[in-house]
Amino acid sequence: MRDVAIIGAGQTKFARTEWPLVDLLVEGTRTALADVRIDETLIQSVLVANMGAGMLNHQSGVASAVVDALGIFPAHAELVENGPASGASAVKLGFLGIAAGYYDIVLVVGGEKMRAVTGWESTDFVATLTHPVAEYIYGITLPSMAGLFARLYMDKYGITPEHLAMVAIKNHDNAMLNPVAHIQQPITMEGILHRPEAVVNNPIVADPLRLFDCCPVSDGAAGLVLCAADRAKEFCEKPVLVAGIGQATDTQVLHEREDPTDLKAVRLASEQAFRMAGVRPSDVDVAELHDAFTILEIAESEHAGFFEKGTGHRAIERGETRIGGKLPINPSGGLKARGHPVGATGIAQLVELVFQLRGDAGDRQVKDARVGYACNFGGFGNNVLATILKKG
Amino acid sequence: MKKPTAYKCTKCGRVTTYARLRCLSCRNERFERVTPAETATLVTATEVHMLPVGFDVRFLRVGIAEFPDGSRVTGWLVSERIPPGTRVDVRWEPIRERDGEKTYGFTFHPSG
Repeated sequence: MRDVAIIGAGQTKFARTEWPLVDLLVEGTRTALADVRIDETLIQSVLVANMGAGMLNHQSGVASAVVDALGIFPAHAELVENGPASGASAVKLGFLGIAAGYYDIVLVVGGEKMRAVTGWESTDFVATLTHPVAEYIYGITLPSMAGLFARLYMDKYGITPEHLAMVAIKNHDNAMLNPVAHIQQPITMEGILHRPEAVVNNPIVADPLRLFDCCPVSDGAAGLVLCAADRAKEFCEKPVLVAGIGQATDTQVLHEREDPTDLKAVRLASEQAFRMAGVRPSDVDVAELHDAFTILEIAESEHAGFFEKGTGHRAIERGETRIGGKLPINPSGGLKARGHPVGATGIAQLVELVFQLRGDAGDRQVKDARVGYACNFGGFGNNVLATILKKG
Repeated sequence: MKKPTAYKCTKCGRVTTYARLRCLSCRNERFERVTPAETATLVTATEVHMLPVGFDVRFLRVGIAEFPDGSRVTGWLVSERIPPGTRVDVRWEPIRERDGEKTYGFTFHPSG
């Protein structure tokens, strides 16, 4: 296999946008292309990560439409759909195409226009990930699954609402340093949990999870330019290596898991990625985790191997996951505050790691970051990708 | 009242409360229809306030319960909030009406 590098990275501001989906995706590619000096006609393939074009935007063939809009014919074009892990899946497929020697340069872009529909409809759209007979008919949504999981996990390991709030507060603070984050709002423990008005400001979504335990519904796009590592210096000064990729699946139905508190796919995907990269969890300097719900940042940090199971919340108490701590997690603000346009998320996580590893992350820079880890969590952990990047 | 059906793998005995083409444990494709037990133990539950399209209620209580044989089921908790570990009666009742047809599902009621 050939080594693969990331030579360009960028994302749109995550927010609500009036742009049509394809324009949003094109803007995502432009942010990545603006980050690298490259003749666009050298791009051989465009992979588009998106989950909801058909359901939310009544559109199909979006990958072909993106190539058309960019005018980079006859580049190959494919759509990659793996639920909320579509982004990391698209990067994996681009990586494989280059590693195998079929391509030299691949453009990967992920995007979603979720706010084209009502909150009810976007919740329903994501809920179609659940099993149609065993779960969906009951009104089970992703927040419901997170609530069922959180109840068990919190009871088992002594995690309190305050621990969950610490995750939210940290990620909101980080997003304040990220100009493209969706939520630019600092929050406090008092304001979201302890003051009388907290029950109004921070209502229950799926108990024990409250509004500030959940990511927002966002529009946005993010892009990466992948390149054979031996050609990377032709196009940029600071390429970042894709060092390891792991993936694992688990049961679609949450109640079928032997231990519903075991995020087995996160564990297996991470182990595979670490083996491939030749590094250990203790070597990681910065991580982007899939905190669609605050409980997931804690649980993923343990299943990835950064902390012993049942101790992730203690690391947050000690401030170890803040920027400047032992292992900064979600310096971008995470899904919680950077936002979660589902097709874009896995790519946006890697965009942040690229900036961190190049030393280009501005006020949220993690000092001397050389190895970065990302976890992109599809479904409710039934299809997970772990990606490890290294400074080139 | 309609009776619920569960599916028991003829090879390894794993039971699921919904039809599958292949057994999750052993990939066998033959199942025996069985009637699930009428009682179970609540494993976890949540009260959901952000509902998808088609639910015209303020909130739903959903949970996972475990039958005595170790198989589990997702369903509606039809009671005030009760803690995990509580014994529940499991019923098969109309839970929604879609396109004019009743949809049946599992509901959990505190025992006794």
